[in-house]
Amino acid sequence: MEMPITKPSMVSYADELDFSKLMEDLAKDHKNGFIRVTSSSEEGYILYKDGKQVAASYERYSKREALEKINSALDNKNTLIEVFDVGPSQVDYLLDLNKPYTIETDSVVYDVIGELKKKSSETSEESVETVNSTIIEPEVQDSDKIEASAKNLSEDVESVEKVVESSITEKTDSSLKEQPSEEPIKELEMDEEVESSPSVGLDESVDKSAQNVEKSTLANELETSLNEPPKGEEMSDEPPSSGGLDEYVDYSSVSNTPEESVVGTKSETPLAKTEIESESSDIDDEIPVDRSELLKKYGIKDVQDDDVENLLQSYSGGIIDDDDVERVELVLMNLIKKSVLGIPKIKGTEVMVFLDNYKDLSGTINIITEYESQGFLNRIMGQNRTAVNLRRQIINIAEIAIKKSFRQYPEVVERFEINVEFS
Amino acid sequence: MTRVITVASGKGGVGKTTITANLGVSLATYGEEVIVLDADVAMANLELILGMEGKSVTLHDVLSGDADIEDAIYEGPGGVKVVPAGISLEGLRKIKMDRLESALEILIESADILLIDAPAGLEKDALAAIAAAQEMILVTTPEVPSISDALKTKIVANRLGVDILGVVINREQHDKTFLTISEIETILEVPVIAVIPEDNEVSRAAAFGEPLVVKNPKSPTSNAIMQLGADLIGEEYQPIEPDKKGVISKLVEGLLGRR
Repeated sequence: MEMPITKPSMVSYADELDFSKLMEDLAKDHKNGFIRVTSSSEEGYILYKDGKQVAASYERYSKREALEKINSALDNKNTLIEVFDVGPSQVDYLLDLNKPYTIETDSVVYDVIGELKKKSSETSEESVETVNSTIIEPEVQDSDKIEASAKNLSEDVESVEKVVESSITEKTDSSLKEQPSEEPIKELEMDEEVESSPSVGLDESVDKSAQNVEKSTLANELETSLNEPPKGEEMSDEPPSSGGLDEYVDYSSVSNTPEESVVGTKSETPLAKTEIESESSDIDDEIPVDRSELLKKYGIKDVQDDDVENLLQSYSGGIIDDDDVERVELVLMNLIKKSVLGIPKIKGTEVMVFLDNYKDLSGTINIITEYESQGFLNRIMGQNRTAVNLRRQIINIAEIAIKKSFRQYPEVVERFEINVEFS
Repeated sequence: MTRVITVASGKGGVGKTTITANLGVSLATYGEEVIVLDADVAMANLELILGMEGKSVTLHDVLSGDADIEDAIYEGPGGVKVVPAGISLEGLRKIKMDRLESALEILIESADILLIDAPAGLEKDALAAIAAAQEMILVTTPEVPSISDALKTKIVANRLGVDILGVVINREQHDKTFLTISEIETILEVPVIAVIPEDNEVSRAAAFGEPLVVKNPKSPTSNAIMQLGADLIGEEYQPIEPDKKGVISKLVEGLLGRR
């Protein structure tokens, strides 16, 4: 599956984590995101939305098969489990992007998840034999489903054949039918993907379009898969595509690198191989990429003009030289002095402002004030209260003066130390 | 007229300094008079990559007002001139980035190309390095966080009127989990001008304190950087093919310690 790999919210090895509990927690918290399971060089994903698993892949496997493979991968203590959180809207997009791996909520396949969850917890507690027996059960049920899907496949083959009948000869089909069925399906599939196209090339249809090649490959593959006996575990090696042409194209681009496709087919004509590679890369290049969709896919936030403006404003306002500092000190000093002298009880005042322009702007303001002397009784009774009130008033005045001087940075007031003394 | 090119990234650790150092050497080998300025005063690494650590006068001293910029220019490998930032935390306290402007004016007079290695992030020092240049090369790895930060840097640079020459994708790997070249171009809306593959030789060269283009000119990274340098100044570059030695000859060389 195609997933945006960012910083995982949780990382653990399989032996250090109760996977079933993890699934329960995700369901309980209605989380959105995906889990990446890495075992040796193999990788699997479970996409979950609102706590429910909605898609799964494991290497070439999808849906139920993928979940089974992930489950067996969890037996390996070195398997790495990473949980990635994504936003609800991003999940919908990822789901849309990975349609071939989507687990339908009302299908039989979906029920397997719960089963697998149980299995993962059981494996740690029960014996190997018990685990084996639990695994066999769903596979027996699966054969019916496979038969049904085989019928669907045959219908799909017919429809695809109609489309590509001009480019695919009977010779091609027969050559593919002659493939030895005893071979492991995995290898067979890899061979088919490359072999099918050269066989078209042998038909001298060199001018075939890239689309025709893809379609013929699909038709051959579907035909071959129908010829295969639908039996238990081997059947699980099938590609995840349920027959749609688009799905097939997506799947092949996701799961197979060109290098992988070429492996094991060295006997093929190099010309045909290059054609396939160039054609497939052409198809990739031709897919229109919308910027906003890409940003959404990878969760990248586009930078707004306001953000840049704020950033640059702080930059341009941040660097001031020593002369500027002296000017600011003088302005601030006069402003505070004038305001303090406006208080009726104040007889005189001196204000000293010291700015520190290292890293962030901060400073110290010392205000020495003389206020009207009061009568003897008042001095005893209320001098203390008057001084407190005046101190508060002067500090307020100084703070207002700072805010006025640095209108765009009101927070700067907190970086000033204001001292008031009465003489 | 002197070209002032800043190499910036947004995110740290994407290989910006390595590319700047090697690109500087590369341009110098084409006969250009190149000065590489390490403007990353907080996390200076350029001198380590070029094997020039421990210089007595650095950009720290210049920005502190304790030295002239002319005294901080050193001859580096391949004929490139280097202004190291200095690795002194003590010096950081006294630094004033506004002194950078006057220092740059002097550097511009004595070079064809002034390459500035900008600090990561978008703090004042990084913005000063970006704003000082006419042109910028954006370095990124094909990972989401790196692209996201590169996007911010690119937009800020655009606003500052800096001409973005293109994106250099560093540590490129054929892995489906990373963004493709076309995806990066679409997101950043800037052309990709070089793709540098993941290469262990880069770490080896850094450990030896030698620029890769000198230590191993046949490596894919060296070829990519030399090509980038050639493209920047409109030169032709013929990639150097790696030696196709047999296993036995490699083994013999290894045993004789010639590697």
